[in-house]
Amino acid sequence: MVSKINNMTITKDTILKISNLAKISITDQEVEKLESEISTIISWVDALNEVDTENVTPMSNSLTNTLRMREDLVTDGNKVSDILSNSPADDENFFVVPKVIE
Amino acid sequence: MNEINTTSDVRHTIEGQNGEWEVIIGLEIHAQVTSASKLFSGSSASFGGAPMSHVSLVDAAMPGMLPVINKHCVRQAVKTGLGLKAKINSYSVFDRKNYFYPDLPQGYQISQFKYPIVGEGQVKVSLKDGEDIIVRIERLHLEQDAGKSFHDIDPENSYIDLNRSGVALMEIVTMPDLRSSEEAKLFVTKLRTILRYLETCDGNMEEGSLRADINVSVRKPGENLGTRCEIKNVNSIRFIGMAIDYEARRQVNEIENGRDIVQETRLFDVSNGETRSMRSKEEAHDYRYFPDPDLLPLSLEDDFIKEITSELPELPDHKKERLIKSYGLNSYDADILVSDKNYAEYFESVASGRDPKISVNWITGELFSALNKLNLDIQDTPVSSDQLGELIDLISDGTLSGRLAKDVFEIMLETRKSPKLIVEERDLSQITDESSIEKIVDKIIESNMDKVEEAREKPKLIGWFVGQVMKESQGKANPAKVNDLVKKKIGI
Amino acid sequence: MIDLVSSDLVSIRNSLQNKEFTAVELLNEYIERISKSSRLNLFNTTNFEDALKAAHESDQKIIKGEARSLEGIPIGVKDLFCTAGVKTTASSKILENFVPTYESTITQKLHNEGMILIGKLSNDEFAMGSSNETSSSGPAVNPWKEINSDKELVPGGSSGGSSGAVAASLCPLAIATDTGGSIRQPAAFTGTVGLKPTYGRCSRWGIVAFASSLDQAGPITKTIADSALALKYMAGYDEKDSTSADIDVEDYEQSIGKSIKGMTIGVPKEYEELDLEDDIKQNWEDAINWYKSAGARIVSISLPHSKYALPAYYIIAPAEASSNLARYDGVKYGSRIKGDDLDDLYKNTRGLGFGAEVKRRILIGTYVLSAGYYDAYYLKAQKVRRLIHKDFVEAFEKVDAIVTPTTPTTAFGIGENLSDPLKMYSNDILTVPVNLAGLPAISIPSGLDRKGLPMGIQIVTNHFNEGKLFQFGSVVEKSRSSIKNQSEWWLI
Repeated sequence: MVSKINNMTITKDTILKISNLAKISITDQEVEKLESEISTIISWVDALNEVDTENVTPMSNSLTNTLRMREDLVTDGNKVSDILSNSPADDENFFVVPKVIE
Repeated sequence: MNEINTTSDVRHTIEGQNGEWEVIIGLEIHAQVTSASKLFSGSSASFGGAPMSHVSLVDAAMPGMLPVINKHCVRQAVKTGLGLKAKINSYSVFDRKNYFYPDLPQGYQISQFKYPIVGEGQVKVSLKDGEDIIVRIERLHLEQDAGKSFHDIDPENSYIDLNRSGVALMEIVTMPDLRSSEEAKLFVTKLRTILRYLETCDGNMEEGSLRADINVSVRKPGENLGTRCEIKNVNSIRFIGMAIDYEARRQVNEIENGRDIVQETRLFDVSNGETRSMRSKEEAHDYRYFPDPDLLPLSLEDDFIKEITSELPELPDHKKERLIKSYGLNSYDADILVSDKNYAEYFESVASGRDPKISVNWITGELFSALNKLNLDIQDTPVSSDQLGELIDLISDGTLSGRLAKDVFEIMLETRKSPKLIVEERDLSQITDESSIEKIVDKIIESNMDKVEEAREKPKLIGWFVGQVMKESQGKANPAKVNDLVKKKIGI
Repeated sequence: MIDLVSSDLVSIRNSLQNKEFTAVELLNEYIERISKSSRLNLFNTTNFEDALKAAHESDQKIIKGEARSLEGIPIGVKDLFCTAGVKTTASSKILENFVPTYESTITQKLHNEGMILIGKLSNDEFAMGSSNETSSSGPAVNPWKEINSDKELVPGGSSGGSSGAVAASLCPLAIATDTGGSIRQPAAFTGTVGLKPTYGRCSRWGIVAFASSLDQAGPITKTIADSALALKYMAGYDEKDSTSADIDVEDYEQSIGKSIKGMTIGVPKEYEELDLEDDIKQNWEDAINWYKSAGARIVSISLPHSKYALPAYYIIAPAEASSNLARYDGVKYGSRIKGDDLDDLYKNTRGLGFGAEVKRRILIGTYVLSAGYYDAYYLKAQKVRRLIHKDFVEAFEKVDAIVTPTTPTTAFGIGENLSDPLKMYSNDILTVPVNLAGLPAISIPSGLDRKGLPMGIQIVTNHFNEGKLFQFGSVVEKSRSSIKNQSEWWLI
C-alpha cells in the first residue's frame, strides 16, 4: 500500500533503513508485516493533509509557561553502586561493551 | 554557503602542482562551560574524579529520569554571546539529537538545533603582519557533553565512563572565514582569550575544555567553495594547525590527481600528523532532531540579559584600544598584554604613575622570560607588580643602573624580597656623586699611564678605561658619568 | 473478615483510623484475595513481604496516634512507576530484571502518607496499547464478563492491570498513567473511576516515559471521593520535573457533590457523528439528561479538529517514544543480547527485547522524524495539535465542562482487535484529544450495556480545574443505576 498524498512510499528498504536507525533487528517475515502495517498507518495519518495549517505555530507541549531554571549546585553524584546495580557488564566501575572502532 | 569572492580578497594561498589554491576553513568549537554542576543534573562538572563518581541517575539515563536546566550555564552562554558581540535570542529551544553510541546513555544528546540561544556575532583577530580580520560567528548553542569511551584498557572491549556525560558545552560555530592554519590558530587563541576574560570556559585544552571540529575545503582563488571535510575533535591549537595543513594539502593532491573530494568526517592522528577517514559508517547519520518534550522553550527576560550585560568585564579588543590610548603603547605590546587579562592587570598596576614603555619592556622582557624559565603563570609570579614598580622607581631616581637593576631583579626572583631591601642589604646603590667617581677614575688613569697615550691615538680604548672603573666600583658607578669623566681626564 | 468488595478507599481509611481492623489484617485479606485472583493475571510483581513489614509499622503508628493521612492502606502501582528495590519492568522483556534504586515522586508522596505498595500491576508494554494484551507477562483479564458468556475480555489498556485490580477489589487504589486514554479507557471497561489530571499536575519523575509531552499520572479508584482523596496527595509541584506546574493544589474533596445548578455543559457535535455503540450513545443521552435535571445548561459546541486527534497522536506519541526508548540499549541496565559487535548487540537487544507493538511504534516514530519526513509528518502533527488545543480553549470560554462517552465500545474479547492496529487505536478516539490539549478528564462508571458490561462517561474541564471534574462527576455517580459485578468467576 502506498501513501499517496505525501507521495511517500513505504517500501521494504524504508523499513530496513528505519530499523537500522532505530537499532532494531527484524526478521524477513517481520519486514513484510511491518511494511504493510506501517504503510496502512502512514496512509491513515495522511488525513492530516486535509487540515489547513498555514501560519499555525507547532505545539510541542500544552504548557504555556517557559523553562524553569535551577541553581548551579552540586547536589548529586557519588552513587556508583546505584549506577551499576543493573548493569549487564561492568568492570572497575566502567560499563563494558564490545570494542568500538572509530 | 556558496560565497564567491574576487581574487583581490584572497589573503593566503598554498602552492599546488598547477597553481595556487585557497584554503577555506570554518570551525565548530566545543567549549566546556565553567560551572559547578552539569547542564541538566546536579552532579559535579569538574574534571577527573574516579570512574562514575560524577554521575547521577539522570546522567546515566535511568528510566523515568528528567532534565532540569542549570541557570548558571544559561548565564554563561549569554555572557559568551555578549562577549562575541552576538545577538542573544530571548526565545530558544532544546532539541534531541538522536543517535546510538555507548557513551551517550540517553540515546540522544540534548542540544539546540533550530533555535539556538545565541545568534550571529564576530571576533576580531590580529594577524602577524598587523592586519586585523573579522571572523563571523554563525551561532552559539548549549548542549550536553557525552561520556568517555576508553578503547585501550581491554583488547576485546571498550570501557565507558559517564563522568563527563551531561557536562555543559557551548558549541560556537564560525562562518567559513578563515584562510590558513595560521589564521585558525590565531582565531582559536583569541576566542580562548575572550572565554577566559569572561570566565565562561577555562580554555584548558589538555583537559578537553576546548575542542574543535574543523571544516576544510580548497578552491582555486575566486571560484565557488569546494567540497568540505570535517576533522573531528582536535584538542590543541598546534594540532589544529597541523590538521589543517595536512588536510588542505591532501585535498589539493586529490583534486590535482583528478579525484573528487568526498564529503566525510575525518580524524586527526596525532601520531603521524595525518587525517584519516573515520571507519564508522556515515550512512547512519540521520539525527532526527525534535524539541525535547521533557523541556519547555527557554525564555530570557530582558532584565536577565541586562544584568549579565552590566557584569561584563572589559574585553581584549577594548582593553587593547584603551592601553594604546592611555599609555601610548604600540599595537604589538598591547596585543601581548591583552592576550591574558592577568598580564594587562599586572601591567596597569606597574605602569600606574610610571613610564609605560619601561614598564612594558620589563614585563614582556625580564619578567616573561623569568616566568617562562620557572614555568610559572603570572598569577604565581615571585615578583609582584608592586615590587617590579619599586624596581623601576629605583632606576628612575638613579639609585640603580640598568645593569644593577637586572642583578637586583634576579635576586628578587630568588628571594621574593622587595628591591629596596635588597639594595640596602647588599649596598648596591649606584654611585652618582661625581667626586667619588673622579677618585676612581684618577686611580685607574694613574696606574695605567701607558695606556693613556695609546687611548689618545685610538679613542676606542676609552671603553677599556670605563670598564676598569666600573669593575673597581663593583658596577655601582653611573656608567654615563664614568664615560664623561674618563674622556675629560684623558683629554678627548 | 473484611468485606473488601464493598469497601472503598475512603471507607478503608476511616475504618483503619477508627481501629475497626488493623493494617496487617487488611493487608492479609488483600493478599489472600490477590492469591485467589491469579487467573486475571493483573500483577507483574507482588510485594507481600515488604508490605507486611510496612503494615506492622503502620499499626504501631496508628496505635501511637501518629497515623499519617493514608496510613496502612495498600496501593497497587502500574509497573511503569519506578519503585526502589522492587522490580519495574514496564511489562517489557527488555526490563524484565530491572530493579530501580530510586522511587518515583508520586509513589514516594503516597508512601509519605503511609500507603503500602502491595504489588506492581500489568500494563501494555511501555504503556503502548489499549487492551493490556501487549504485556510481556501475557494479557491481563477483565473481571467483568458478558451475561451468559465465558469469553474473557480485556480490561482496557494500557493500565489494564490497574483497572482490573481495583475492579476485582485487589487494592482500593491503583496508580496509573494516561498518555492517550490509558487510565480512562480501562476505567470505562471495568466500571471504575479513572482520572487523568492536567498535564503538569502530577510529577513525571521516576515514571518510565512513553510520550513525555502527553504522559500524566492519575488514580484509578472505585468512587469519585476516592479519586479526589488520591489526587490530593499525588498532585503538586516537583522541582525535578521541568514540566511540573507550580500551581496550588485545590481542596478537591470539597467539590464532591457540590451543586452544578446554572453551570454549563458542552456537548461536542462532532462526537455525535462518531461510530459509537448504540448503548453508549443512549448512555450519553441519559447522562445529559441527568445534568439537565441537576440544573445545568446544555450547549452544543464544536471541536472541529478533534477528528484529526488520532492521526496526530499516532505521529507525536511514536516520535517521542522512539527517542524515549533509545536508552534501552543493553549497555547500562536491562537485558543484553550479544552479537558479533556493538551494532549487533544493540539490534539484538532491542529486536528481541521489545514486543511487536513497541517495535512498530518506534519504527513509525523514527520514520516521521527522519530526514525528509519531519515537516510532512511530525511538524504537521504539531500544528494540528495547536488547532486541537485551540478548539478546547475556545470551548471553555463558553462551558464549564465537556461531557462525552469515554469509549466508543464496551470491553472486547481478548485477541479480537490485536491483528488490526487501526481498529485498536480507534478505542482512544474520545480520550486522545484531551491528552493533546493537556486537559484534565475523568471517566465515571455510568451504567451497564445490554451485554452487562460497564460503560463510562468522560468529563473534561479546563486546565487545572480538577475540582470541577469531581463536582460534575458526582452527578453521574448519583444518577446512574447500579454497576455491581454479579459474579466473582475468577476466584479460585
